[in-house]
Amino acid sequence: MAKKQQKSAISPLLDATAIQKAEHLGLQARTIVEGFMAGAHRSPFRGFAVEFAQHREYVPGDDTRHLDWKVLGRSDRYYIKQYEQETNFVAHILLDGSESMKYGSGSVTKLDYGKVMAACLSYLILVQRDAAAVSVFDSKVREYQPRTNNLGKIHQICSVLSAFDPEEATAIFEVLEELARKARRRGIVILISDLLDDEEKIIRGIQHLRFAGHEVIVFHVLDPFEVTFPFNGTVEFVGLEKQGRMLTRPAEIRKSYLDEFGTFLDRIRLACERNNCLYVRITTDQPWADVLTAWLGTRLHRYG
Amino acid sequence: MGFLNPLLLFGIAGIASPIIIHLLAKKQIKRVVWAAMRFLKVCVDRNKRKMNLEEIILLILRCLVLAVLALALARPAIREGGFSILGGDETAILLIDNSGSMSATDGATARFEKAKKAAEFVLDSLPSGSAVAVWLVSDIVNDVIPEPTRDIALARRSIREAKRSDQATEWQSALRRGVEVAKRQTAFHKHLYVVTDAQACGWKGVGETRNMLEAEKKEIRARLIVVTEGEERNLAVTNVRLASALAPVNQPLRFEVSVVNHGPEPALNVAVSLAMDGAEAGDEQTIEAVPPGGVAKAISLFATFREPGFHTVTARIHADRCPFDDARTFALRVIDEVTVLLVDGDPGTEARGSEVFYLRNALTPVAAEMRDRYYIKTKTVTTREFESMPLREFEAVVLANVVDFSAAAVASLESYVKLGGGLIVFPGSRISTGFYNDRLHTERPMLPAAFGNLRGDPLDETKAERPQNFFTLQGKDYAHRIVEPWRDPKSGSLVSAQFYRVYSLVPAKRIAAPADAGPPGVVLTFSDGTPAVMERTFGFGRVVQFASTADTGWSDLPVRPIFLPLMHRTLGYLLAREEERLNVRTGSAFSHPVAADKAGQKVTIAGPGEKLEEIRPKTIELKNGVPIIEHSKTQSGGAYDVRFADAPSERMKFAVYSDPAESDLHEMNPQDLKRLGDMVQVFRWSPEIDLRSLMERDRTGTELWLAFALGVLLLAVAETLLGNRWSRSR
Repeated sequence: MAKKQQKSAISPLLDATAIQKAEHLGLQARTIVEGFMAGAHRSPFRGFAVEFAQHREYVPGDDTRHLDWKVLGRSDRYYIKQYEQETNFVAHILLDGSESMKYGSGSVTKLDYGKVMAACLSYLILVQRDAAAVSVFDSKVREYQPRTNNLGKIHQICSVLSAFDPEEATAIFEVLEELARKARRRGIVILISDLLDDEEKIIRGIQHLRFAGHEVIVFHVLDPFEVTFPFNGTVEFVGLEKQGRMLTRPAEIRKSYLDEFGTFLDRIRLACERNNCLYVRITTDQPWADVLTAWLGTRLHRYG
Repeated sequence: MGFLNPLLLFGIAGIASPIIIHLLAKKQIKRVVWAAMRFLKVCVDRNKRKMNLEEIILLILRCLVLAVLALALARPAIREGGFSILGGDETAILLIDNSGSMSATDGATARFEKAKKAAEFVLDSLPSGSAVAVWLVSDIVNDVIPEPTRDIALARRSIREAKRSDQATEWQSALRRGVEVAKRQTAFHKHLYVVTDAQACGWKGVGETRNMLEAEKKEIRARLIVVTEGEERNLAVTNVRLASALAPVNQPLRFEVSVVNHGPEPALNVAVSLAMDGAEAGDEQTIEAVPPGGVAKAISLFATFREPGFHTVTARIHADRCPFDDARTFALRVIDEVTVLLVDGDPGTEARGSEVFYLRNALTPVAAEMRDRYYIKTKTVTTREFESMPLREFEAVVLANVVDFSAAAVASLESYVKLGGGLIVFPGSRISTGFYNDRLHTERPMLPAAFGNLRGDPLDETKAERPQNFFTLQGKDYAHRIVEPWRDPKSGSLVSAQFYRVYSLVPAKRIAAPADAGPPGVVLTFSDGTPAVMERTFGFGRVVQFASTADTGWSDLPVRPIFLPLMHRTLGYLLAREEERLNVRTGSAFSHPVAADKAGQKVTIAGPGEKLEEIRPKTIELKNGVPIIEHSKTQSGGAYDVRFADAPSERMKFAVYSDPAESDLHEMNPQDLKRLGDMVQVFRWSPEIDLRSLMERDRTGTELWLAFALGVLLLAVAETLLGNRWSRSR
């Protein structure tokens, strides 16, 4: 029974069309990753990879393991075989699992959306044979799926994601800082969050990651209602993350709210841009496929 | 300040609805679990106080809209006199002046027509459900609708069908009656509407009227609607009377016509004509100038009647703006002959010694052979003969020095006088004062005075010279109709007559007098002021009593030239008693005795403008055993025709005249109107004034619903604008 529940809980995560689209994109993307993207990730350490790149003359000091014995046998010359550095990267997918992510105006909450996004991205990354590490956090990391490049682990990732139920408030800064400290290998940090935390701290966390050499991609997940604030009548807003209650007539303060919210979004966006990290704002009514397309698009644009 | 629909004030309770909606709205709150509370908090904290204030202002505005709307629907109105519950039905008594002066026109419309129109406007202005009574008021109240009715259509019809009378005006009693009737009504609002021309003579005793209305002020309100155009010029025929002593056939009769000018300027060349029996004008005279100020100017006109019987003469002046008094009719009976019974109480031995010798000669001043043709015929009888005589065939009976007579004769004489006969009593040396005083004065109040002491010396017949002491008659101030010709010195002097011996006449006390006896009147006095001749009405007849003898026994009056006219005028005066009955004032009942055989017969009486064949005949009824023709519908002035159903050839006529005071069109003086105005609302109405809305405004005060409705509109607009503005997101 429990298993069945779990299964049914997972399955919506992998939206068929989205994954299909993503897979399709993934196929395309593979070339990109292996070609253009690889260029972007071109390692300064050559010689150990799988893919042959070129020969060069042996100079003393080179590891003899890499001598091309066939060439030596044929031409009596010492050539060292050089290989392309593996283009694999480690993607740290950080999904905000705080209570605020529980909000959803429609049937989909931000967290649901985030979970699907995380799953899709993980799948996409794994399909590309990159390594992905998935963590769900609130004030600290709640769930952690260690780094893997095994596509077979996707199920594990999905079950971790779907089993998560948020409880606490966000503390992004601490989580990012911890990540920056721990993840010694430089990679891509994908932050999926509504960023409803102290902006300064968020930005500082991103800066930390950037200093640690990580590339940071921020998926700012928002509910369409948060962006449009379409409420009417008298509404009592019950704050998630224990922020109390508030009775008001939202229609009358819509403009003020939107201004306030817009300023917040702008600050975040500017901070991201200043720190040279990719900022993608998505609302939960956008199809996931679009989001992934947009992301890949931006990556192509960025690295192509 | 008050409300016409006070019930709708309950609508103010409607202000509860926005409050309830407000409270309900607070209860029906959507609950939203929200993530981005941080931003919301900032906005709410920033706007909270403002929003609360706006919410309260909007709530107040909405409550105000409803409250003011309820007030507007309740039709508020401001009226002088503080707060009162306005509106609602009312009971109105509509008193319309239909007196003669209402005939005055402004050249196009008569006052009465205007009054009727104004009365209709009053009807229109009454709130629905009101009851109204309609009374036509002159000096009497013709209550067309005596008690208030809710049938307004009936009231309207009775106003339209109302007819003006020629009567005088007397408002005080009508108003008192109006107040009494109104007091009996149960309605909350009681009003008296008086539509009148406010003629001064009809509004005497303004103070009393005001006090009466003031006493009932709380319960009854009175409104005076004055329909007059300030026309005060009026020339009126105020009197027509027979100036001749008697009215014999084929003799020119002198009629005195009085014309009064009530206008401010003298009326020049006023032509006065006299028409007999409604025919074309006969004699016509012109008065050169009738002075203003209401002083009567008299003129003599002559008419000769060829037929004995009842006749009328109508004096007429040219029509002016007040037509009701431009003509005046006088009815009289023209006599073929007058028979006078002379009862000689002391016949004497020779003709000259007869007590009635001088009297007979004075009454028939013609040669003996002419006496049969003379219109006055006398019959001289002794007391004994008198006792057994039927008196009915005589116009007058003269008792000259009659000692006394039998009780049967007394009864016969009483009934004779009561039915219209004339009686002249001369005392003398033989009379029994006890008999006269007891039988004819105390038991039956026929004589105007009791015979008192004898005064003066008896004349000694044997001596040729006259006594030195004598009484003379008054020398001036001849007020009585009998002696009025002597106002003019040219007519001779009454003073020349000397009375040596007289009875003092002790006038009857008025209180003791029963209804059929009139008050005793003095015709002539002696120079010392004691009565010399007195008169009194008794029943339909009249009695004249002298203080001295009819012969020369006690005075030399019978040998004086004045004796003849004096006796003729006295006889005429006795006969004029009938004229008084034939000429009645408007509104008074005509009442005339007829021969006994007429009892039970049908009689038709047609007034001016009425057709005999359209009138239902009435039966002559017996009253105290006497058949009497009675007619009380005498509102119009003019000649009235009486026809007997059983004797079509026999005719009777009488005339109805209007009160001369009514011709004075002067309006109530401004002070009186002002005094009355304290208690009564006075409206001056002319056809261009919208009386209906005036009355409505007066009844309701100035209506404020429009202002309130505008207030509602403004409040609603303000609410919409503010609500819109404040609900706009910020």
